[in-house]
Amino acid sequence: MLSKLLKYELKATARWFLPMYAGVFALALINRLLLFFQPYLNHNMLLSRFYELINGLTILGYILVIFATFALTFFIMLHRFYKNLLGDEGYLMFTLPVSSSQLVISKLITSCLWTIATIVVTLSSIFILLVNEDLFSILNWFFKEITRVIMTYEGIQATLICIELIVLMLCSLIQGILMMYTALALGGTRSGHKILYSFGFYMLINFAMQVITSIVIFVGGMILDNDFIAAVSSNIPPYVIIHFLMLSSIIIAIIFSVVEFIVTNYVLSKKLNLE
Amino acid sequence: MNMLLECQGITKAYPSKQALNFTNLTIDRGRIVGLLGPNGSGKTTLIKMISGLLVPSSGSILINGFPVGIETKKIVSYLPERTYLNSWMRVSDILKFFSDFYANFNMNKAVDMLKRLNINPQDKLKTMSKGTKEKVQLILVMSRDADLYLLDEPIGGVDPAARDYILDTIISNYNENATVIISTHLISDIEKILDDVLFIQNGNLVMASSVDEIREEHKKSVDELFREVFKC
Repeated sequence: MLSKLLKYELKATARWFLPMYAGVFALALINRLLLFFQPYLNHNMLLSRFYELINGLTILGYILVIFATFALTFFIMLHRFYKNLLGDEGYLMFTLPVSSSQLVISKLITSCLWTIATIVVTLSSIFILLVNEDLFSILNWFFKEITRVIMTYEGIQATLICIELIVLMLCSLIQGILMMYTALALGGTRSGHKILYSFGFYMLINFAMQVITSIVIFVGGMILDNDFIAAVSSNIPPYVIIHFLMLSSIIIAIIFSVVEFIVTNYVLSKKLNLE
Repeated sequence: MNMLLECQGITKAYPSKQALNFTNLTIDRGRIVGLLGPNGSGKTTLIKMISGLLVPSSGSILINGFPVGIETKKIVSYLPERTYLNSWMRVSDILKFFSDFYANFNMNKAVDMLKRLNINPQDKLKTMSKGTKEKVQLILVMSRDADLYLLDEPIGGVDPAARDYILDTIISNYNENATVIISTHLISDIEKILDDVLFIQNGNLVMASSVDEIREEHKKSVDELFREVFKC
């Protein structure tokens, strides 16, 4: 059932994202193609001015379309949850033979996929923008250097930290999305001004999270006091501390995500109040 | 096992009012039941609880022996008062959607009914009139081979000719294994197809009787009895 929900969720959202992505690539391509003309302009004032005008517009267009794509990703994430689950379509979705957790997970996975896709598309478009003969030899050198460095101790540590960073970003993404879903679900229980209440709940959850995180850091600081740190730090290499911080952040993000998921699921299954 | 729906002491309380306060209710298979009452009496609240969209404040609901959940959603087909169709699909897409999620969805029946009502499967849902969307929704709901059909005001916003078509569809769909609960206040139109009626007022079940009993004992039509019971 979850795969079917994913299928329809992707279908419902792809019609927005694919054209936007096409636009991003198109503008990157246009900007790149314009660069071909640059060497030919040195002697003609009029043509130069004209070129600058067009180039200014295309660069602006490119930046705008990237901003728009990120904004769209964020907006659709919220809009899908609100419209499909808390609006009239909820009458259909919540009478399907699926659990509310499956509904939430399908939306969560889709939102994550599109966010990652948007980032990948943006980076790829920048790559298109930079493509020239030198690029490949630079990349070649770059990869050779990386393979050489990775084999060292520092290189392994750095790789681990990069992996931890990526995992942390993914967990933060999931946590951020779930926080918005929780706020929307809680707002949906109100009979009026749902969006306003959702916004309020979001602020509340955000505040609660910051308070909890501060308490954890404060308590952690008290436990790991100066004597303890002095005794231990002489024996511990600096990388371990970085790994510890990374892993703690990942664990905190996961804990928050789980709590938010449980709350969202509870509200949608037990406190549903469709108009 | 003839009993299909069993509600025990279900209540629904909101901060502002007590929406439902039912004593026990059982409905057997193979019945067409009218859920009759004035606006705001709790008909939709009861139907939403049976379909799983609302959780009762207390009491229990069993459908075919199962508590309300994924198992009951498989065998309950619900037609709400409002349109739940999305805007981006075509009719053929929503047919595939129902076919994907419901094992008991009869695609041939649905296609047939669409043809009979001159609805083009390639039409986009967002271009349709409200009446046509309601017809599509009714077709989707009746094309499921369900054990319990919940129809909330199915003929409310529809023209008289379509009303007859809808009532005919409900009857021709009838099988002695399934039960249809129709919530409405247009009683005179629906009376002819009902087996049983439930009168509900202010969240209370004030009468549960078969149509035959009403005609014999009270010597009235259901419509007349309704006007008497719910006199303003």
